Amino acid sequence: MSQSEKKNEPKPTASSTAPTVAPKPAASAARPSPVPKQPLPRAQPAGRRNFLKFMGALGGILGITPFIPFGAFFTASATTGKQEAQKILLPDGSFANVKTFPPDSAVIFPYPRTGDERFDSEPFRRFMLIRLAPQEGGGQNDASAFRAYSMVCVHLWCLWDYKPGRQVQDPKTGRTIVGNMECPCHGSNYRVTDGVAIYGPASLQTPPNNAQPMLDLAIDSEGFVVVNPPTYTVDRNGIIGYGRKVQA
Amino acid sequence: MAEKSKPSSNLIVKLLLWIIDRLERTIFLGIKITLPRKFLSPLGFLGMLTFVVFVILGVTGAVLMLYYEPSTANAFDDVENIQENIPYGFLIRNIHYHGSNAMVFLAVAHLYYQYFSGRYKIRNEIIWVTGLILGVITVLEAFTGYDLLYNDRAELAVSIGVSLTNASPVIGPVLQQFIWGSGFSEFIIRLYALHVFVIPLMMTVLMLFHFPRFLVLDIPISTAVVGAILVVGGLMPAELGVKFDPNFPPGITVPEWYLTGLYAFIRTGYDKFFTGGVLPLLLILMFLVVPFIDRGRKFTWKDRPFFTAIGLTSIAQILITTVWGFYIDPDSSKPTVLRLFIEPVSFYTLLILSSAAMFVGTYSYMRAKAALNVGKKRVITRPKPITLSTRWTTISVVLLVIFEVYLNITAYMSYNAKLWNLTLFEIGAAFMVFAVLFHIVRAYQPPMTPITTAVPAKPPGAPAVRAAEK
Repeated sequence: MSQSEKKNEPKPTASSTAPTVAPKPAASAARPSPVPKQPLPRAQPAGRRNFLKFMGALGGILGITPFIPFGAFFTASATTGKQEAQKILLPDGSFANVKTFPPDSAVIFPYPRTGDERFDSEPFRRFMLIRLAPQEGGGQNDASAFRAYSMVCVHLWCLWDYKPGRQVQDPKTGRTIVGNMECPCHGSNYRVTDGVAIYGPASLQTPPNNAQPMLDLAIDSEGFVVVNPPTYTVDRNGIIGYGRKVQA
Repeated sequence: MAEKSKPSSNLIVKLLLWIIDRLERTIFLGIKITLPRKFLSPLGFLGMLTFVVFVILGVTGAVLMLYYEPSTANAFDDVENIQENIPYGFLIRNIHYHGSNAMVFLAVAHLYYQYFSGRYKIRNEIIWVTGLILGVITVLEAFTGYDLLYNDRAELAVSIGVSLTNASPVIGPVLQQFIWGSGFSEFIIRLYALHVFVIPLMMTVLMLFHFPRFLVLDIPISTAVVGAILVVGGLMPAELGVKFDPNFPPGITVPEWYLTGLYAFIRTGYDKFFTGGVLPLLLILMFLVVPFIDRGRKFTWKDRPFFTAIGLTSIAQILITTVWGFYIDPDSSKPTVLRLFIEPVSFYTLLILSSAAMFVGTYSYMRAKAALNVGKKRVITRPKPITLSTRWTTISVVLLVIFEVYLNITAYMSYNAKLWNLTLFEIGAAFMVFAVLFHIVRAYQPPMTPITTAVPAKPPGAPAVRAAEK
């Protein structure tokens, strides 16, 4: 059935193009067709044919459409820990305390701490707790002596390091700052007091892409440093790997 | 060669012929693989050599999968275990690592040879474009591979790769989430899935559209390339690097050599997507449009000064950026930013000036030379093949086999002595010796018996010379 249809199909086209392609009908006329002639299918009006094609295409699209939301499979976000007030766990197992934490030093800690090493070792959940050098106000016995910044450089997401004692000049004020945050990949430098990039590629990015996200800290009655639950928006604590708006 | 193989009564030969006959009903009917009977320049089949290395990477990679778990906690320790405890793990990992370098290198060399010989013409545009995509994917495959170590360098490389995706305009964050997920425990699983399945599958499919119908598989050269990979692995064993410790930020690291050019751009400090994405893309775009611009009938680079000049300029650019990307001021007392920062004005000025000089110099030189050669007939000289006599062929073959035996014994002994890189070197040397041996055996021509009934004027050596000319 379908075969005979296929064999029949070229014939009307050949005859329709007869004026341009002269030898074809002549050749077919000379050679007797092995297939007995069958009535040709009646040519359908163009409008109906187009409508059927359109419906066919529409059916195909409707068949695929339900799969579009399947993309969400790829974008499922990782489990996040509880955003709650937490003390800062030090590598030695104790908690960071204003009485014992030395000035001009830093330690890396996870926030929010879950106890699951898989999440706690996650670079995007890592923050650096810095007690400023005495020259920068690290001698105070309140939360103003501490800073906690995201470890992820806002330039290309490498992990920066705190260099205690290193002196850098603030390009804006010309003041010498003690202690420096520095990224090993492309050399971005951040001002330790507010986390704004002062040298390197991150400093060339437009605000808010030039400042490190920062956690809000407090000191509790026993002197422990406590992280207050953050709001990861540009205006508040910043977005990790993106930046933070800093009020001038 | 003169004597045609008679229909064999050997059962195995019959079976093989039967199989070959039936294979003609499969897709292999369209592909003709030639095993050359004499030495051919490997430049002509660099693509096939790339494929040979791809197969080696597939085999060694599949084996490495058995002891590797893609997790932030175990990845590094697993690789260390493969390297230090699993029998022959050191060798297999080194072959895999140096194979990846070789594959990137061979792919780039293949690209440039095909470019300079104008092979993207004669309706080869599809092959050219799929080849370009394959080249880019090859680098991505190598990149996802060295990230799986999860050492300091891998951690930083993953960060940069993911954040560059994130920095793409408009769809960046969605694209990042889609490809990489969020967080390193997701990154590393996805890198693994991409590295061992998705990208190799894409490459295999693209190869169907990239392979021409006529292929050359040269056993001695392929063996020599594999041997070279092993020898290089023995001389420069793959390093483990420093395990990434979330409590200690990594130090300064440089990416693999095929990415230092890109690293140099990023180090100039301009917008990350422009320097890390757009500028490298320009090179690929250049190659992409060339077959649609260069419509002339001329093939060889000598007749196409404009495109030859462009090709050489791009090589010069790649070299300058690659070397500059590697260079880091060794003075560690300086602040990192001063050691890493590439001064953009001098960098881009030098790049533009050297490109212009390279282009104008090459182009005008070639035009001048072509003008001098107008009317002169081009003489093509082919080197005469060296043929050894029966005696010397036998002697050298026997000596080479003895040398291979020696290498086998020393490889075994150095493995037992835990000198694994020496083992690798010796296995590679044995491979290369086999390549030479194969070459000598192939080049050997049995002496012609003088034809006694011939015309007396003919010197007795004549038939042999004629045979050699063929």
